[in-house]
Amino acid sequence: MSATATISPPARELRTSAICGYLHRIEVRSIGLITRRRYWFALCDTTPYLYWYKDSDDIKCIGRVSLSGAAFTYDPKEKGRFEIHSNNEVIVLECSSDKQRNEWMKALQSTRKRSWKTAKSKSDSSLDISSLTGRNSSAVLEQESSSPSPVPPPRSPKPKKRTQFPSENVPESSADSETTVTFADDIEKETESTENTEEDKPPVEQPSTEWYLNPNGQLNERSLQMPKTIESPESVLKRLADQSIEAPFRAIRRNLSSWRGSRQNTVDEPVLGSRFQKGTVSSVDLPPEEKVIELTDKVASLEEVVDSLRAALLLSQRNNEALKKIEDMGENNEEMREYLLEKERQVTELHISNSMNARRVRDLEDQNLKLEDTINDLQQSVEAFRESLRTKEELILRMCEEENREDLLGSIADRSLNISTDANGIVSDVEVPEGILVDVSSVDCEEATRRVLDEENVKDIGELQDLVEGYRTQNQFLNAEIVELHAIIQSLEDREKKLIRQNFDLEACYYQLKSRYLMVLNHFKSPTKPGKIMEPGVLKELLEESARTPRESQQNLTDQLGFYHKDDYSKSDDLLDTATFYMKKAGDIVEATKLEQSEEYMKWLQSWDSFLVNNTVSRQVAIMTSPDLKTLIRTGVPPAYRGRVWKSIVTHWVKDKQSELGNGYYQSMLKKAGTKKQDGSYDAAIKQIDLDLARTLPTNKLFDEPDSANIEKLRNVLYAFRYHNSHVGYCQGLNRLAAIALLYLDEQDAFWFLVACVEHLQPEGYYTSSLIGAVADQKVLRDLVAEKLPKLAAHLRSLEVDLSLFALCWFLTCFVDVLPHSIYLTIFDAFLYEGNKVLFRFALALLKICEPHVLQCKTIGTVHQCLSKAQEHITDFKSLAQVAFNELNPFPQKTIETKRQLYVTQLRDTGHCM
Amino acid sequence: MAARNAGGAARPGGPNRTCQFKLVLLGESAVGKSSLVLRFVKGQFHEYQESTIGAAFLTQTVCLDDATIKFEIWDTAGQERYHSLAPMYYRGAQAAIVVYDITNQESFQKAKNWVKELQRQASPNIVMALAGNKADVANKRTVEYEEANAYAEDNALLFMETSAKTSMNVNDIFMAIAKKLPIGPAQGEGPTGTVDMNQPQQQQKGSCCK
Repeated sequence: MSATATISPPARELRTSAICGYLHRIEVRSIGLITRRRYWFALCDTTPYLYWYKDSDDIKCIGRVSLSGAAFTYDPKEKGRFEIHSNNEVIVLECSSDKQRNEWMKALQSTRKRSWKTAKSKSDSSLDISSLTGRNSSAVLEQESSSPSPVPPPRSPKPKKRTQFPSENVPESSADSETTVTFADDIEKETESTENTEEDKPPVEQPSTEWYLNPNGQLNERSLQMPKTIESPESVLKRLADQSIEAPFRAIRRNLSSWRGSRQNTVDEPVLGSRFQKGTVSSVDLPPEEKVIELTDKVASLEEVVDSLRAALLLSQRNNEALKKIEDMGENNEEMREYLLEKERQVTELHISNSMNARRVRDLEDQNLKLEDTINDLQQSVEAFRESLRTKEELILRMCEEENREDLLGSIADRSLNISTDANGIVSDVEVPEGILVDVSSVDCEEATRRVLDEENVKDIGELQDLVEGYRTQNQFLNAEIVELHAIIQSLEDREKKLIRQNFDLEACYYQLKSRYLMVLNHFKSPTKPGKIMEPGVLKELLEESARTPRESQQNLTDQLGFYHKDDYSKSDDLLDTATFYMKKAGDIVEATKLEQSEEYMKWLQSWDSFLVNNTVSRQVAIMTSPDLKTLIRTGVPPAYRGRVWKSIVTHWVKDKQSELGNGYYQSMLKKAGTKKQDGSYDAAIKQIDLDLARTLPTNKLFDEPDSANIEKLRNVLYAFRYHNSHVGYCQGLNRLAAIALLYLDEQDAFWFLVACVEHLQPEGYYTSSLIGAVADQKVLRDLVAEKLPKLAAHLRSLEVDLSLFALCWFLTCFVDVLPHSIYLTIFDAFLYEGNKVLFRFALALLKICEPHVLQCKTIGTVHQCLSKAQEHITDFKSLAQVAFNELNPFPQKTIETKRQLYVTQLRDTGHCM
Repeated sequence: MAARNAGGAARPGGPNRTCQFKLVLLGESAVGKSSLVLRFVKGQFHEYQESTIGAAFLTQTVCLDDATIKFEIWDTAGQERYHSLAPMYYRGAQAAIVVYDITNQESFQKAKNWVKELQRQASPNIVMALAGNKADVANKRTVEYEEANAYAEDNALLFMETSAKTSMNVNDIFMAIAKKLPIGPAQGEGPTGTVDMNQPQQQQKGSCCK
């Protein structure tokens, strides 16, 4: 795919990966309404956009978001949810699991990375524009990064190699050698290169934003270190517990858990931790009875702690005594003293801690008292609850009785249902005093609540652990995110600077030129004052310059596809002619640029992007058929995508044939051609192919000479086709089709392209030895002209003009011979998708556009001349397509087919002569 | 341009008439039909002239002493399978140039076939010329001048060896044809009529594609 490679080399080198799937998009509307909609999201790293569609096989996207400057974040608390911040817009998405989220985030990051790296490499490559300042060239705009300048650019950028730390295993600091042994070398290299570039760069280069990176582009120390204390959720819990309830509570918890263990593990140990941590003593959540038990437990455990502390104190005192004894016994050396001092310090510490513990014990006792108070309160409220319960039960009974009494014939079942629901406390149709829920049996309820709470608590702790884990990964992720965003910002700043510099250079160049020309003009304006306005030689220099520049740029002779620019300008001595010519050319360039920046053009590109992204991610080899796609293709395929689109359309047509003929079919055909050639058995078709090779698309650099780049491929394709379809063999015109295919496709695909054109898109017999299909179509065309363009048809008939003299080659070569390539390539897009009918549409459109001109012609000669220049009235594809696809409707395929059948039989019967 | 110069000085405002003639080029593939026309019409030459599909239509005007002649040139495709379309192009033609490649004997045989076909099916008064093209590579010649000349004489054809590359004899052969064409309605009779387009119409009507 050499042809396509020239169009977008960076995109080709990169391995394409894609991710797609259904996600929920969560939107907060202006009223505060939250909507949650399910869309099909697709991300393809050939484009820096995330697209979403209504469904997986949609062509038009619902929306898209640019990832090139986006930041991604998520909250570990929200399962599967993540956010994309881009252009002051936040898009909240939700997938079904955290794992999926990670995949998405990774894909998003890699796409973003790719996009800005591509942008960076592009901006690096286009830098040569600044080299223009090195020379006094007037053709600033014409040069465009092509010609190597003799003078090195004043501030030519070094190939900058930014240190890119792998986002996941970011080295914590350069000294951290143990963990980063494996890539230590790389880092060193990277650091070196950064240093090098630093030395080369002027000091002003420093970007203004600095977050996590130091001026060398390295990470600030510890900026990415995880807080050491966070090791596991348990430890976090412990730490939290330490802060809130101090050490003794741990003992309490130990005791409690052991006690609870004996009570069938009803409440888990960490639950309490979490509860205490919250600082509320679960007065509302837990039933009061349990609270009492808990509190007494706590007291007991506190006492235990005190006991243990006392024991420890005693022990250490004993130790102390023993040590004193040792000291007394002799050996009054230094070490011993130190040891003793140490011990004594320990003892005092123990004392201190003991007193502290004692203070805590007091505090706890105070707390205990308070808790007991609350227990009392709670018990009171429980009493109140029971009271109200009772009253409510009575109420219910009374009401039931009343109801029974009121309508004995009423539906009993209904009522009992009502009652039972009421009893469960779920629904309370009956007005309940004080708005307190009704419980039938408080014991049952208690049991149930506890069970629910237990479950909830277990979930809680699990969730909490997950949360901590989540925060950890989030932290990591966000750190990586920061590093990457920083890199992006830096590169963008660099680019901006480069562009500013280039702009300055260009402006300088422009003003320089302007001043010189003004000087010359002034000189001519005031010839009476010779003075020192102009130095000798300036004029000559200027003339030489203007004569030199446009022709020097040899590489710009062809466009991206290798077509030579049509230079109508034949050397003229008239300066004014030259000036007008270049004025027009400049105008054309400006026009073209404007068009490429227009909103319509952008929208068109976007809709293609949207289609292709989804097409790529769903890994469809063949294109699908849909009215939406048809409409899209009728607007033309963007040149950069044409190869891909053509290939998938061709696959759509020939996939059955391909699978039938098997892999390596093309190669086997080539082989056959090769052996035949070795045998020396030249047939007319092969001879004709050889004659035509260099005579195919002579306006294209890739085909214009026998040893041009694509000639060999063209030969292979045509040879293979000749042996593939011996009925057709080779017909002049097929060389055009194959060459057009080779502009975008590789050899094998071009072969299948040809197969699709001859055997699927064109009707039967189009290129066979009698060309009967093509001739019949000329008659169909004549009928259609009579129907759609009656005036023209009458005029042609009156002058006895045979349209097919001109139109035959329109159909055989799909307008390659008559229209400029920018237009016929777009016709090919539609032709490949819709087939031969499109050719009728465009032929009629062409005729319709030049109808007024033809009607003015009064003789057959002038009509011939007018028709032979029909293409001159076609300025762009859009206006042609407007006529072809809109103004000619209705355009039923069936009519064409019926007519064709009729004429084919007619031609067969008459022995086919025109 | 070159052609005009060759055709003698144009005399604007002179009392000459403008006559239109339909001229068709026939011959095997890649003998240089399109190159001859391009040289004659635009004075250009491309080493690798794009092969013609169907036919190409060009016009060129030459000036004779007493008339201006406008050639409507139909440059046809050479490949065998386009042969069946040729009648569509030579029908009603007042002149034809049958081209062969002097380095290719086969193309000369093919040229003879074309002459035969024209004699049989084209307008009876058609002016026919035989052009042995690629005279610039005479060292690779396989068709001798004498052989072709003798054939031309036998069949009353104009004959010249031409070279579109060097433009040798290109304008000459068209001029020679122009001179042989009946100019003016006084001389023109029947199918050789000039601006009178009735004749070709009648011919077309009689054809099977109507």
